[in-house]
Amino acid sequence: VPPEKQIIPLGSADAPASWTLPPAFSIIPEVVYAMYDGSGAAGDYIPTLEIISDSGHVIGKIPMDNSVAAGSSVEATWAPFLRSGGGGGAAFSGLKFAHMAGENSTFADTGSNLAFVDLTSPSLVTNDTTTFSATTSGGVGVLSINAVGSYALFGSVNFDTATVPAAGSFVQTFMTGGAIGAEWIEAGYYGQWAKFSGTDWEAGATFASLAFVESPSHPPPQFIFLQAGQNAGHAVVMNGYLTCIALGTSLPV
Amino acid sequence: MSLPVKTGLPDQMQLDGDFIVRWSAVDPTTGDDVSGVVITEASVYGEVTGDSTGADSGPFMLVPGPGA
Repeated sequence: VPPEKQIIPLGSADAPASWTLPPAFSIIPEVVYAMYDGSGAAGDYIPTLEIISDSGHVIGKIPMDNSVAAGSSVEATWAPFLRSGGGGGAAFSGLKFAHMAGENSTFADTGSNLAFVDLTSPSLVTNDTTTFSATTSGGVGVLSINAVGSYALFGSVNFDTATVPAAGSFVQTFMTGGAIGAEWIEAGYYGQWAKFSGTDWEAGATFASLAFVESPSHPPPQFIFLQAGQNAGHAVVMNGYLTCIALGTSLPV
Repeated sequence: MSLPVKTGLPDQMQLDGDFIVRWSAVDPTTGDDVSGVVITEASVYGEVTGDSTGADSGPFMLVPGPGA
């Protein structure tokens, strides 16, 4: 078994600080470490490890995922199979998201009904107004996804009835897309359904749906509807919430 | 002092003589070097497969082989 050694080649040096391996020396690094003293840094910086071959060509540059604020110091570690996480870098801002809310208070109180939750434009909260926007389709407020990619959808609807519905009633909530029947949203819709007896019902019960959607061939924009149904036989007020998170561009569905 | 940061490194990547390991501090926007950053306690720990003569070594650990 080859010996394992810790090489400490530098004392204190200004960045970029280089160590040239002795001519007959070889090492398979398991951990590379350095203390970055940024108290005099001219600006924000990213600790970066560079490997340069004996021919002078760069083999790789491995930056940390987060930057370090000017004036701050940090201990930096590179090792196989490590992933970034925790750490003292910038605030997390990687995922694009959108959140909308709405209400439907016009549910019919007889029979089995299905209705849209009108997601209002002012309710839109997002960190990416290019990818997400609020619009209407068929007179109903919807979330518009404006970029190709994979998205996770989380929908919930609060059903509020004045009286306990009849035993065997059901409520359901699900999300549908503007390209139903096409491959943009496989299977057309995803939803959650629940049946209850009168004694199990509590006003304000919430049901959530989860869906993964992808736009491999249908061009954006695509509209996401939040829908709910019931046959509770009573007037129902629905308050709905829809959250969408962009996962990437090539996840399988 | 901020919390430590960490990230990956290619596995089983052998560095040979005259290779260069460089610790740099780069600008998040331009990628240029940022001045005023001082590197201390830089170290490389790993399997030494060549002649370590001339390499500056600190405290080290030898892993005994089978039967040792």
